[in-house]
Amino acid sequence: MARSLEALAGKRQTGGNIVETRGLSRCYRRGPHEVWALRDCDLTVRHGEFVSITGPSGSGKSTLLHLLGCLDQPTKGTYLLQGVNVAELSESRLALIRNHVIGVVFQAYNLLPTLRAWQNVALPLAYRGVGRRERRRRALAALEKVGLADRAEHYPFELSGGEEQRVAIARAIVTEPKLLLADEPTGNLDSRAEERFMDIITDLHREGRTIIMVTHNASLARRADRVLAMRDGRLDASAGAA
Amino acid sequence: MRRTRAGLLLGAVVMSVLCVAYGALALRAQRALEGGLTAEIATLARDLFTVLALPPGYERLGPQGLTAAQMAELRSRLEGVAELGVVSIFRESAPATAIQPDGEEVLVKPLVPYLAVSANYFELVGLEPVEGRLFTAEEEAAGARVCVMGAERPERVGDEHSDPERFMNASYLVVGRLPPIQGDPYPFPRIWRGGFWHRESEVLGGTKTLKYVGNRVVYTPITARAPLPIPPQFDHPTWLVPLVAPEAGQSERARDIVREYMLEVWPGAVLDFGVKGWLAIALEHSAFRVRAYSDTAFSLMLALCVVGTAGFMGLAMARRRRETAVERALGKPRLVVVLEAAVLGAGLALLGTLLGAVVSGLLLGDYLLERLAAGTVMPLLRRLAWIAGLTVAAGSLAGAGAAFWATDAPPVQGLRQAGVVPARRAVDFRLPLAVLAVGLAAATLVCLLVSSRSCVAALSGYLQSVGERVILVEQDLFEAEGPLRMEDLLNSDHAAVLREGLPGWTVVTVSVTSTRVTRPDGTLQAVTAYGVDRPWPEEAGYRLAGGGEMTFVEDRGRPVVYLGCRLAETLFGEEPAVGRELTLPGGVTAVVGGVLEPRPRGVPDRLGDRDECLFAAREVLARASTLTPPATTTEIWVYLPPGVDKEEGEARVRAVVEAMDGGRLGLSAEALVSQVSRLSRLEKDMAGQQVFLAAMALGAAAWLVGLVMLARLADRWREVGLRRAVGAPPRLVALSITGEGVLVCVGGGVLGAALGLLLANAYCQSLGWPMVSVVRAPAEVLAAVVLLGLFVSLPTVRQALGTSPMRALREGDI
Repeated sequence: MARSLEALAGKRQTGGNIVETRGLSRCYRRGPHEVWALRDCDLTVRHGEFVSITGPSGSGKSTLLHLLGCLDQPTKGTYLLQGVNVAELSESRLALIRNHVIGVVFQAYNLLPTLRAWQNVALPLAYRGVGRRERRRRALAALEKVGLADRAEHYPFELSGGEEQRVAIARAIVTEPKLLLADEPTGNLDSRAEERFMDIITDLHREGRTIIMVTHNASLARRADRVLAMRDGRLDASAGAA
Repeated sequence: MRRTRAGLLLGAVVMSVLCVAYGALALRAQRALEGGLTAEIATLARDLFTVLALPPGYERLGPQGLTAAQMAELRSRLEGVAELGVVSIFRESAPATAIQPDGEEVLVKPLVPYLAVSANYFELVGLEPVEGRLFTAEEEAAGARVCVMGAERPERVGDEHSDPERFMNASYLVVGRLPPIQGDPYPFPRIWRGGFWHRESEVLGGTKTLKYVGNRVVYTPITARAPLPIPPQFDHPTWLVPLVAPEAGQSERARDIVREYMLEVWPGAVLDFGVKGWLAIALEHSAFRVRAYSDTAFSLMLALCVVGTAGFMGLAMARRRRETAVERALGKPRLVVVLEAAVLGAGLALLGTLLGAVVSGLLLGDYLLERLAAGTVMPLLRRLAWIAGLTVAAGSLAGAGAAFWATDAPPVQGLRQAGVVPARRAVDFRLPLAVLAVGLAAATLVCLLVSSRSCVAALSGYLQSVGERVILVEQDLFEAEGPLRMEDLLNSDHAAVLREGLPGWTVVTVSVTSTRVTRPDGTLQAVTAYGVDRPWPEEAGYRLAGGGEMTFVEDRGRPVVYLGCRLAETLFGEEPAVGRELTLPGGVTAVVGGVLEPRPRGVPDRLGDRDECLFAAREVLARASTLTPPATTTEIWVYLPPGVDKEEGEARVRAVVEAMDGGRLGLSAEALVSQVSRLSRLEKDMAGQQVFLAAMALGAAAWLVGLVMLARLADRWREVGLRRAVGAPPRLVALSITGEGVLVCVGGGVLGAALGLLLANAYCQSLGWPMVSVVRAPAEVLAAVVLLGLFVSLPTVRQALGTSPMRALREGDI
């Protein structure tokens, strides 16, 4: 694992696949009932690619994103993240991956209300053992990137929805992840905030980050390099390959 | 969800079960301890006491006794507190002579001293008289119990001192005792007076004055077992001595009343109350305070029941938060919600009480049957009903409180999705409640541990300072069979037999003398002198001030004294005692050194009317041991050599004693410490049961902590999910949860330990006990709460890590 982690946490790679899934599936069981939220998903994403995944509500988009973010475990199938089969990893290793390799922007922002904006951004750095001063410096830099440096000392309830989402972006990128995942990031934003958000995403892509964004907004989806469609838990077969 | 809520309500029931069971057990412990203590008081030191007062200047005035009027006054003051008997000591029947045919006058009946007592004497001392006749031949032979020789009208001497009839309303009963001393031609009363006074005449400035010197008389039933003939040359006045038999639990009050009255009659007099009274008072204090102790501990448990039930019910109500909010949104008043919860709380407590009654029945089964048989079960049942009522009330109060707190927010908050983290910091009352629950349980446990250990230490501390290493050989003449000879009485010859039978062991004959020392200013200092026939062993714990060995020397032919340092301070203040002179019976002695007495542990200073001191001067020892009669009972102390434990020592000494005595002389061999070991065992047993229940309560409180932690996790589910989503390592999540659980338990434990120590301190101080286990008990409880905190955190950790971060983020609820 140490070698794999080095590989995963190493310098950003260009070319090659960062994400490869084969037959990835997820089933939720509620008592006697089974719900296959994701079925046999084959997906490949290259380094530096901006992929958007669209589909109606309940199509499995978020489920796929959560599996890609190591936030959930697949029921079956394989998921290779930079060649490492994450299904074989322990929870401790997965936590390391979530901290070092992946950044996630949630639809509901999921900021901690008891922490200030910069503290929310610095949260992942705390789990890396980064010192307080260095955490603050990097958090402020991330907030600067999203245009919220002047709001660093504010609590989430003092921010607008768009500002909260930008704080969430800052948190997702503060660790300089290889892979940035965004789950319906503009779902709760007005159009102006939405536009601002997409500008940030575009800038990040321009910097060479790999971005996978889930959205039901077709116009936003088109701003990606590749658009994938999902329905009933399945990825459109023609769009799964890079 | 239903299952979880049922579990929470079960927790509320358990709190009531524990409360009732604890209350019942505490009640049993209390009653048993009271009963045990009362029995011990009756057995160990039936606190009969007489009081003699030596007013200032008694040497020239002669000893003074209470007059009949004063005795009557004292009796009225002791009304309801103690029964008063009267002992008229130093009475002597007139000798009778007969003229022989040859004209020679011969002594037919010698002057015989006897003790005249009031009609209630036998009842007070617990003897069985055979009334109203002379000794029969069978009784004269051997084995007869005390008999009354017949009424005798007192001789009027024109002095109210000798006319007790004026207040007694009954004739004197002359007391005989058994066994009769062989060789005495007249088996009339042989009453030991516990000492004697002799009168000396002194010429001062050409005037002949009378002076009374000698050992003070201390008469107690204990010392009354060593009757010895009084040399006929002594001529003593008669006076009345109160024989006080306190009612149960009134020993100290009786002594206070008598002390107060005697000092009213003779301001500045020295009073003497007896040898083992301190033990009786210590035991009595225990009996008195057991109830307060038990009530205090139960109050803690009751408070814990309220807090714990409120906690469990609060958590259960949180599970129905949305339903309750909907009901309130549709118009249900908050008061109704609170009342319903109060009823539910009362119902749960009632269920717990019934279950607790079953548990109590198991714990108290035999005790209840005993009470039933004795017809004294009703007070017990009333008390149990009181406990049950309080517990149900506690449950109702807890339910109402939980509902009141749960409905504090507007209904809209309950309608929101469960698990939403509030926007602003909010006070979470569940944590303080959990801390309080742990605190109360810890306080109960610490209080119990400290109090019970202090009790045992106090009661047994004195004797255990030497008692484990000393086997006491005593003689109970009431148990002796057949006529006794003078040489049968326990003396140094018996000690010699023991030394022969136990080679290498230290055997010391001890005569305990109650005496007075004349201070330099001429006033008297009451002391108890231990006369020994050889150097006091090292094991006794007496050490010379400044080191060195005690030697027996004479200083210019005068006896010398090693004076107890504490006594020296009392006599001479800060001035050095060495070189000072003391007037002791028989002469003036010089102080040549100081002895550091071991202070008996647990004996409050205020109980001592006399100082314990050691006189190691050979002359004094000889005087104490060779006085005819010896001043008090003689005991033989056998010191166990290293490597011999108490049980083995007792067995070996008993073997020698039985061979020597053959069971005839009423000799007994028992470790000193055994005198209170029975009581210690009783105390430990009762404390052990209570500690067990208190520990169960601590477990219940910790369980509450665990549930509170689960509830808090439910509120922070999304937060935990998010932290894990951004890479928080599992160990950090586990550490955070465990740390919180341990912190809550330790916080409660620290508060509870402090409260428990405070309560235990108040309790021990009221009894005059030194508090022991002050560090150990809190440390034990804190260690227990740390372990409990770790244990109760496990389910929450498991819950937090057992779900994927995404599910936690999505669901936000457990």
